[in-house]
Amino acid sequence: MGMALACLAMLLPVLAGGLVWRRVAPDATGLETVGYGAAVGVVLVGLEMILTTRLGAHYSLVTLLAPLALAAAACLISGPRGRGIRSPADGSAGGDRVGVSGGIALALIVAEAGLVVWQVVQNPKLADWDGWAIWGIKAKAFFLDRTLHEYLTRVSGHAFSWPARPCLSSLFQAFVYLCLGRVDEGAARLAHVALSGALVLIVYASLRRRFGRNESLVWSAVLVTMPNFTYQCSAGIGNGALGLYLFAALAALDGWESRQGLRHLAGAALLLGGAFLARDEGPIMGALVALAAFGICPPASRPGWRATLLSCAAVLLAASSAYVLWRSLDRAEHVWDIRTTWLDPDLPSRLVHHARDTPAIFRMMARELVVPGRQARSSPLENRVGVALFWPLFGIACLSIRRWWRTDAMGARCAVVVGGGLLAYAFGFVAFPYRDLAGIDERWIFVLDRHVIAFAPMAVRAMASALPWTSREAVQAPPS
Amino acid sequence: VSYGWRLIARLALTLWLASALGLLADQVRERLAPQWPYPEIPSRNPREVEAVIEGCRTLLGQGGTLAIVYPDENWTYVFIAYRLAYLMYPRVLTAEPYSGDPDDDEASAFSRSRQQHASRLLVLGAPDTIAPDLTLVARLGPEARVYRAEPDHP
Repeated sequence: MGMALACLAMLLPVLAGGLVWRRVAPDATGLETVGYGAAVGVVLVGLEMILTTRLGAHYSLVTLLAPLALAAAACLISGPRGRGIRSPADGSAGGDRVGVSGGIALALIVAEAGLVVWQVVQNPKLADWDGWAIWGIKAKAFFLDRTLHEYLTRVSGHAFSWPARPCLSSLFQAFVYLCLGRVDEGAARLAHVALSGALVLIVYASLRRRFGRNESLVWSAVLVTMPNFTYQCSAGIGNGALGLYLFAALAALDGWESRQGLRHLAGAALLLGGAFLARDEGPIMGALVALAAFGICPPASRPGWRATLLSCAAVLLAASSAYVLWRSLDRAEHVWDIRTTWLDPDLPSRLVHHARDTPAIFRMMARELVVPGRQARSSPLENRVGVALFWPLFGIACLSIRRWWRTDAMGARCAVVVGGGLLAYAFGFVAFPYRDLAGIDERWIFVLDRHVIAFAPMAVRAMASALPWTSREAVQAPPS
Repeated sequence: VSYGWRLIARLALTLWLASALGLLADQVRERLAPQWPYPEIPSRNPREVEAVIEGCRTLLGQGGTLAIVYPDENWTYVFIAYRLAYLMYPRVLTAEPYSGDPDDDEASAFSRSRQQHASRLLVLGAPDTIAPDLTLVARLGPEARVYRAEPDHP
């Protein structure tokens, strides 16, 4: 009984998020609603916890669930009647039946999901070092303290766990603990698996707006069977959450030029806010997503520059407010401080030094991605073929971008964000004064390899655009 | 869509399928093999590391607090410090690293940790002489010692 109630409590954010998303996008399919609902629900829970702390109060399960239930009820009462408008790409029209390739891909996705859950059940502990030392300790603290303030004031003693870092997945992990009434690392890992499941649903839905069912399933399976993805989806770290929100925001902004509704932009801003709250590089990557979404428009559908600028600024401003709210909690000593990084007089010389090292960094990144380290759980065959294939294929997709970007702006935006994001990661580490630039060693590579997973969904989407493997014309969803 | 692009895509996807099947087979093999709950313990003797962690938890009991001093270049000790801080939150008041630098040695980390007024002090990797005025409570390993730093709270 207790477990059933806990599960119901954990599902309420998904329900509320799904209903909010149906108000944002009435044409969303069922799968799309579940995927976006989970993503939105987690952001809502995180914002509630931050706001409660900001008001100087302690949260409880009731104070977190009540506003979600109210939001769900409000959406139900004010929402449109009926099923809403369904796009021709949702399988009801313009789609295709699941063929052999789609069936194999679906079987692979199900098998991989089963294996990941099996692993968690077999070892229901946060085995990953970062999973407990950085993300897990935050979740435990937020659960035990019933506020974010206590932990954030322990900066000096717990500097190793990066207290000031935005940590949306830890907030949700704490919510899971609140539902269960105890710290349960296995449940935390399963919650992260569920978030990865939401990402796969959103990727699939995004692909379905453009491609047939089989192509969409195959490319979704490519993402799911990436060894780094399978590892990180249950490790309990925040990189997967960043990938989820970056992709969801970009997919939500896909076709903004034809929709341009305020609700649509508000929904995208909420998801972008999730990216801002997911990790400390979230604002930079989120800004990159917004710039790509508003900057890359096929000439035929390009709106006026004023509308573009205003929409971009509004979305960025709304998303930033979540990040500003988080930063306002943390007035104590910062692990990473703007004054000691960007106003550092040595910064120009360090940038020059770093620019010289960049080719070496990229060579090492490529080597590590081709032959992954211990965190990439892969077989010898997978090592030689699968991992060695992924980023070269993305490279081919980028090289051929001139051929397809006019017909598939979403794919082009994804390619730009991935390319820009990789560059930003390589250069961005200069901002961290505690990392010795002279020591470009395997620690850097480990970090980069781990972070690159946030771009894997977008890389898959770009590859799908560049490598159509059937001669069938792509399904083009009309604007809703 | 040109035939060449379709050929490249089909070849790539066939190779991917082979690799995905390899990944699945490897994962099944991994699942059926004996499991070690913490594969990331950076030590040749994980049992010793576990013994230090469990020893500290037992010594602290229900009411004590702990401060830790550890060398940041030894990953085994870093692991112990972080792991204890996670397992015993919020009773590990501070985990103070030290390096070999003269201005960041074990003595300065020791004095920083004393400022937190924890009831016990775990010193990892430092010589015995670091805490001459404190009572040694337990030696949990060759270089892991617990001292009584403050009176126990009721």
